[in-house]
This record gives sequence, structure tokens and C-alpha cells, in this order.
Amino acid sequence: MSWELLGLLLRWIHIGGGIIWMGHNYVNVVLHPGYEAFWAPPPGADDPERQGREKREHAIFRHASLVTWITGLLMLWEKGWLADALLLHGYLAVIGTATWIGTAMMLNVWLVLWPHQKRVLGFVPASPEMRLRCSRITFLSSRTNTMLSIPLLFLMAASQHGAVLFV
Amino acid sequence: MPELSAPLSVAPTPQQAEAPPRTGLYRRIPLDTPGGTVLCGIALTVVLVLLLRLYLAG
Repeated sequence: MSWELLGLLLRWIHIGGGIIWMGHNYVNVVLHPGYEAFWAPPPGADDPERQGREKREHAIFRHASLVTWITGLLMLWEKGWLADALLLHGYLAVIGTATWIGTAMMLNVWLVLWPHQKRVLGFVPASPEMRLRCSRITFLSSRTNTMLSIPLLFLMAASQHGAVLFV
Repeated sequence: MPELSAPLSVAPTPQQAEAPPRTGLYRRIPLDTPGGTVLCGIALTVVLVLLLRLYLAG
């Protein structure tokens, strides 16, 4: 397999993963524009079939973030740009900044959103007060990623097509 | 993701409470509305582009 083909496959998977990942965020912004506080378990939380569906949905969302992040790093590595991008050397600072934003977003999903959301979803037992607190943190974590996706997408595009802005 | 507890296909009917008061950093960042979220994202984009231009010109 040629390196060019590998790069193309990585880009394809990267874009697909990103759509699955951020698509969840954008859909939720549209469906639930404001914060809705939860202190009670969701209706049907004790239904194993429903819990199974919710766990699958969340797992796809979480792992899409990981796939997007890893393929992004691999794309930079395949071009020999990874170190320079992460160290913000020259014009690679543009995609490097996007990489750091993406890293913060992926960590936000796994280290902030997920530990709190599993309490909101009822996967882990939680008191009403804790569920209320977790629902607020989950909301802000999700909104933060939605906000960060805007400069991330811009810088990702600008790294390929934005020379007019930076040179 | 999922700020809420239900799969996208299922409309939730949660028990709701008053939203807690905003505290800390988020008091000044209007993420509670879609418009505020998008505006913050655009503002952050502009700031980052200007900083990168300065950095690359230096």
C-alpha cells in the first residue's frame, strides 16, 4: 500500500469519525437548545433494552472521538509533520493549534463528560443532588466542545486552504 | 454529546429543576444558548487567527 493511499484512508476515517462525534453535539444543540436539569433517573432507566441502546449510542460517540483524534495524529505522522505541528513550527502552527484543540476536546469527552454523564444516564447509581450537578457539568462540557469545534474546523480547513490568511 | 439522558430517537420527559446559578468561568461565557455558543466559537476563531498571524509574522 502506498503512503498516499494510506493518507487518503486516514483522512476518510478521520472525517467520518468527526462527523459521527460532532454530529451528536450539533444534533443535541438543536434538539435541546437550553440546559435541562435532571435529578431523577430518566424514564425507563431500568429497562435493560433501553439501557443497552443508550450504552451503545454513547460508546459509538466516545470511540468516534478517539478514532478521529488518532487518525488525525496518524495523518500528521504519515506526512512527517507531527512533531513540528505539535511544537507549532512555522505554518504547521495552524494545523498544530487545531490538533491541540482536538486533543482538549477528546480529553473533555473521556475525562469530564463521560464520568458525569454515566450518572445522569443511570448507568451508575447517583443521588438526586449528584445527578443534578452532573447534568449541569455534562451540559457545559458538551457545549464547550461544540464551541471549540468552530475554531477547530476553521483551522483544519485553513491549514490546507488558508495561506492567504497567514502568509 | 448527549447533554440529555435519552437516545436521540426517544423524547425524554425528565423531572426538571431550576438551573443552578452560573459560577466561575462559565458566568461570563454564554454557552446556555445555541447562539451564544456559536458566537463564542466565532470569537475564539478570530482571536486564534489573529494570534497565529502575529506568531507567523514574527
